[in-house]
Amino acid sequence: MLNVIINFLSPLISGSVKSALSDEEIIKKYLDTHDRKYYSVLYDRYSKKVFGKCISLLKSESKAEDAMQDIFIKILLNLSKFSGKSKFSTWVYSITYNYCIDVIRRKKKDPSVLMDNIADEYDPIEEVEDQFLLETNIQRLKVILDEIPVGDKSILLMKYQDNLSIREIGDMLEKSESAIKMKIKRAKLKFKKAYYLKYKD
Amino acid sequence: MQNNNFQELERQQLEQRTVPPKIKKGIDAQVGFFQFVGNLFELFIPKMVDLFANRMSGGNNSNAAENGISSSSNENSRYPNK
Repeated sequence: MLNVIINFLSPLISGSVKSALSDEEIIKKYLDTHDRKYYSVLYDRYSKKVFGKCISLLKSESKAEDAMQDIFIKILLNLSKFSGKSKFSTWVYSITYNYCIDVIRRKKKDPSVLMDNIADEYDPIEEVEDQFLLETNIQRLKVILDEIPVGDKSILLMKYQDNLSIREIGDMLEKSESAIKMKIKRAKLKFKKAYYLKYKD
Repeated sequence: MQNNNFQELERQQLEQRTVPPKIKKGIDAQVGFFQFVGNLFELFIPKMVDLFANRMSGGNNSNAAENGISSSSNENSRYPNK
């Protein structure tokens, strides 16, 4: 009888202990023990957000499912390489964004999905206020984000949805801070143009 | 405080979506496979290396014999009158 009670309670107890641990502590425990329960905790913490990002970027649930599986395997295989310089969440999102952009790039056979081309030199004069993007009606925001190129969408999501700093985005995309600032500026301008084309009121 | 409809959009989308359990099962299966292959290597590679080293050095295969691998020369030394 006691065994039954212990068996019933142990997942609850270990669950609460695990949920009290930080990501870094869980990673350390996983690397020390290779016990899959630690990996499961990380999966439970991030799967929903990663899945949401995959659907949002790939625009297909089945592709998002495949991507999600590959992304988490990649995370697992590279856990020992996580240096702790950035937050674990930032590292997970960087793998997610890079993976999805890569899938789209391969599908379109277009290496310039993330605007790594000459147009990078172009610095738009017009500055779009953050407020314009942040206060766009949610339905419209969704529509416009689906209309602009995926590279611009990704960078706007990193900045405004994930609240990543310019430096963190730069580390993620292996770009300088000034290049990222310019990309954001251009993405905001594209957003505004797409918005006025769609909703001419 | 400034509105952030990007985060609000994400919050709404997260509420509407559930992650299909088959994804976790798929990951578990792959991880299990990797662990199995890893264990296999861990178990057999050192023995293979030992055996190989022994053969190359022309040793008396005492290690190999210990590992349950016998050879004719080994049997001769064990049973000289055979």
